Amino acid sequence: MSVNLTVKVFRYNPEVDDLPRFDTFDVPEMKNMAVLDLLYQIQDNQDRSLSFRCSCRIGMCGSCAMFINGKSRLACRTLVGGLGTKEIHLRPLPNLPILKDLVVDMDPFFDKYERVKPYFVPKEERKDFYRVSEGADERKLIDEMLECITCGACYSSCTMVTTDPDYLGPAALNRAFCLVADKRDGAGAERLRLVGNTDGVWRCHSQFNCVEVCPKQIIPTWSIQQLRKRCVFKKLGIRV
Amino acid sequence: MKGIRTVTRRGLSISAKTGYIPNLTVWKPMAVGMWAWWLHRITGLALAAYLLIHVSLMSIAILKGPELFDSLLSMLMTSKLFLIFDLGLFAAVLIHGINGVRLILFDLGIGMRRQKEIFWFAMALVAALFIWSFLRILPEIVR
Amino acid sequence: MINKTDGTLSWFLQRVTAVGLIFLLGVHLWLLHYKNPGEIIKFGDVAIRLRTLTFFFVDMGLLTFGLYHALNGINNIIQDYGIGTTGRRSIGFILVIIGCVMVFLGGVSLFKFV
Repeated sequence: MSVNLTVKVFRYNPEVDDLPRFDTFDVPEMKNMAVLDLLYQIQDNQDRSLSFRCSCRIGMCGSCAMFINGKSRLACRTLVGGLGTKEIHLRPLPNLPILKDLVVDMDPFFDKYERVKPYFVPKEERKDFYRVSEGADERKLIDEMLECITCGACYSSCTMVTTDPDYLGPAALNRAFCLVADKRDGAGAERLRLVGNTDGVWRCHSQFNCVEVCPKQIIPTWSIQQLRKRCVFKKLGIRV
Repeated sequence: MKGIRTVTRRGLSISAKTGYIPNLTVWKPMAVGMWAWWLHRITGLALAAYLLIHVSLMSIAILKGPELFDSLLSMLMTSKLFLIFDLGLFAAVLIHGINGVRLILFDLGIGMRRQKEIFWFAMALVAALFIWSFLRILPEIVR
Repeated sequence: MINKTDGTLSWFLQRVTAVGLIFLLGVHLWLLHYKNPGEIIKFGDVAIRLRTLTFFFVDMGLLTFGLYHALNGINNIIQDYGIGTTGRRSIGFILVIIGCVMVFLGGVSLFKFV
């Protein structure tokens, strides 16, 4: 006997609607259903105008991040059974402009990402490759931070992002440290200059919301702390 | 559908009910780290306001001379209301101070992976010290 | 253009004053309130205490560290709201003025005992 789920979905079409609204749908629950399956169900059978982003459906692309039952999560990786209730509330990610329904404009997120020079800059001309062994600590450190799929969950959960539109945010700062920590990269000093200001590392107040929501278990707060340490050492003239 | 609005601030539309005390209504329930942040901020503001009043009041009392100073202090320190307010102040000092130590630990890179446990330990310390101070001041309040 | 000011020193000093305040405030609260609850402090007691070098420095420390920490904290909260450069500068200026006035007021009253 399958129980129906009550799904309240945020709807807003700026071209047509003055104000947003919540539409309620009844969806039969299926075994091991994820929120993404719910959305497909609604879109296929009940309302073809529902808009949402998705792609890989296995938690790798970061497209389907949305605000599910009080928290930013990936729709494809959130099992309905795990939510512990038959009422599902779906809203678009906070802190970002809404394009339509559950789709947000990720431009501000990626603009800030670009601000930290998020690409590898080789340190020197080399004829051979760097050798970093598989189990090395430095590799493990960077591997963790490299997992970021730029889903925007952390960015949408940080209070400092909400109140300060210029704050770089956890994802961009995590990316900055990922590269600063890499001994092969040559733009570390410049990146510290780019993030070491009041709209960068100094805006974080260790709220840990980013850690709560990251689907890849990254700890951006830690990355930000490491950047801060380097900024302070640089200011005090201490060489790391 | 009261309360849900798209707020435009400098061109940004924010989907959730935010306003100027953000995320308190959006995040349900608030995570431990967010409680810590909020408590730290509220106690900080309260203590900052108190500090400005305290410095002004005490300085003026001292500058006006012993009579005014003595009468002011005896009035304050025997007032039951003031003693209760004082307990609240001490609670704020404890919360802000001990959570502050927790934050300094994180700034040194210690304990970030166990931030929730450290917060609960800090609050237990706050509770213990507050109970100590309460029991110490209680005789004065009920006298 | 993005509003940028280097916040390194103020962040660092906030922590330095915080640690200082933990000790200074502990001493202050214990001596004046919790050591002898119910004791009403008189002008004469304050005078005796502040004539000693240690306590003069403890109270001056409380004054300067406390005001820096509190006003810098308020400045931080203001910065959290992403106000524009002119706004930040004006508010920062006002906070500095308040700080100086308070340190002056407090300092004058402490020096009265010297």
